[in-house]
Amino acid sequence: MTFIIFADAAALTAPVVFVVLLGVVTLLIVRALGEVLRVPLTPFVSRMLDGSIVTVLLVFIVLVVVRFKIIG
Amino acid sequence: MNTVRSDHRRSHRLIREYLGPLLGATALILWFVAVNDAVFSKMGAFGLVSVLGWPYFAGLTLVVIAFAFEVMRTPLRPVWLIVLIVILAIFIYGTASAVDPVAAPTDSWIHAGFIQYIVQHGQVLNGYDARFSWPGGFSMAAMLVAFAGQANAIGFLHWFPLFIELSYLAPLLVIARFSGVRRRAGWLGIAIYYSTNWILQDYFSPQAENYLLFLVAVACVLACWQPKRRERDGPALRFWREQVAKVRSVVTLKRLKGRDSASAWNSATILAVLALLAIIFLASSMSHQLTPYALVLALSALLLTRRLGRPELIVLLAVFAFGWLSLGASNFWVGHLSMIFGSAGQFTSTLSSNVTSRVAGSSSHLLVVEIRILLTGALLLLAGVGFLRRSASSRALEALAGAPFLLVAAQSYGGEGLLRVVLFGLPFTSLLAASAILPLQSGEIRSLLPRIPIGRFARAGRVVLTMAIVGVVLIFALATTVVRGGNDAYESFSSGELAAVNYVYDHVRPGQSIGSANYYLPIGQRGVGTINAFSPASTSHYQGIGVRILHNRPTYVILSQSEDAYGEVVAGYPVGWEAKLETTLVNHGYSIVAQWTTATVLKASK
Repeated sequence: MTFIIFADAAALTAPVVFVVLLGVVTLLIVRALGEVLRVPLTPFVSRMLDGSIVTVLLVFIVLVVVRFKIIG
Repeated sequence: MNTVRSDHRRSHRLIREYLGPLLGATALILWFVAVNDAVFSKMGAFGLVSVLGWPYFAGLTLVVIAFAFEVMRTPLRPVWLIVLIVILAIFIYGTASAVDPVAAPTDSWIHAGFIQYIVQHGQVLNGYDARFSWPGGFSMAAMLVAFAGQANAIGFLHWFPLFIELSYLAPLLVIARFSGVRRRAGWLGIAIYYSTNWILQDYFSPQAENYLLFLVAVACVLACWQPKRRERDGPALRFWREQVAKVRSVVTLKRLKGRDSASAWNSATILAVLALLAIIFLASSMSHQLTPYALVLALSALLLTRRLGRPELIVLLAVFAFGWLSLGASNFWVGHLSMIFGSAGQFTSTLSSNVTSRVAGSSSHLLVVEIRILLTGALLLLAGVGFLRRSASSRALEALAGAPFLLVAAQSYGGEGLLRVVLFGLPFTSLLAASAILPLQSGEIRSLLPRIPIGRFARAGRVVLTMAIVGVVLIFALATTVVRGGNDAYESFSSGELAAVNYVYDHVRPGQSIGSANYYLPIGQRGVGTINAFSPASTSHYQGIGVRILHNRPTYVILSQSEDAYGEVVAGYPVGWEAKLETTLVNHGYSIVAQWTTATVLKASK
């Protein structure tokens, strides 16, 4: 079994922030593509997409703040 | 009788056809005469303007008259208008490059040094300078240096201000075309922009390049999305109730989702624009500290005023900017986070560091600073009149002009925040100022001032408008000539000063340091990471500088004309202070090893 060893919490936050950043960007691209190409989404799916963007964005903000707090 | 009338018509037609181009060509010839006659070594405390003779001012007047004539002509001739704007830009942004023997200011040389480091090592030097934490612009320039087969970036420095200002013209034309002002006002707004940009952020730097990205992004959005016409339902409301209803509509979910704007472009084109904007956002986030946040505010202003249909763009840019700050620029903020967030909400101290602390120095410097404040105030006042006079389909311009002020609330940006606020708002303030003279008369949003009745005086009104354009653009252009070159007494450099710096770089060894009395030298282009440059912080008495240099004891000290001028013009030191400093250093173990008419190199004895 392979383990990834992080030196400390500060080192751990960087890849986590990066992965969440990629998550937000991917969701934003999906939303923009859907709107521009007029992909017919049900109101439920639209709400879920918007909700997930807001949620992941909030996680991103929290992680950035935590990173500032830990190593700033 | 008929022959006389026909001759009169022909001469009138000839004037209409050729007056503008002829005046423009004459202006350009006068500019060549002016820069050829200017003697750099005779520059006084007022800087560039002190070496410019009458041909410069005559030429500037002619190009402004030619522009006013062309912009009031029917039909408009875009090619000639562009030619005249380019000539105007040459006057304002090319004169210093043509007169100064060496590129300016100091920062452009430092940036050349950063680029040189990347060319040599293929990476940035962590922990060396805050600017290295946003290396996108430097990396791109390093690639350009290698691509062009140059040894370094120094060849790019000298004419960069004119080059980058002219490259702003393309997005400015698009912004003017799609911002919702009259076509003539759009042209006039561009001329006002070029006549009032005294901010001096167009030297060889990432911020100059990022300003181009900022303008391109705003231009793309304005061209792509137009406001949807508001649907009136229910009875007409009284004036104030209607205003309240409009303000409330700004923050509806529909508006925030971008549903109040529409695009006439097809899906493929919109997707291409979105991809282009995403690349621009990524590049900007990695190459400048402030521009991405200014762009977030600008895009938010466009969304709230129905000129942006894709709110994802704002979130994307904010995520890129904060993501880079958190991950890529951690070298900068680790250990001194207060530099980023410490000034948030401190309006008084921000205003003090941005304005009050700059109003100091000799009488000539004070005059230059006061003209800068007056020029900015006059432009904002004229923009205010434009806001009241113009009808529009959306208040996007007003929002774009006002949005950058929120930057100062969050960050003083080392005392330069207010300058950047003026810069980021300038294209839009200029278009509003143009609308004060040539307002749009129709639109969903009515003008707040009644239309001036001209009636049968239309012909005279046209002459008055032409004269008003000449007056406004000429006054702005003259003031900008004075204030842009107002720091040149100490910010521009002679060949002797550059030779002194090169002499030191040729002799200094890694680990040794180079000292100077202050910051104003063409230094920093070599030895990044191996040779330290030391200049003491400004002190109230020049003796303090000698004490600090002797305390740090750099191996070489360069004393120059520009350093001397800074001491006299800004720091308020007595005439001849640098000669006394030189004597002090010689009496304390330094000896003169090389000398030019404008610079002296001293070396510490072992």
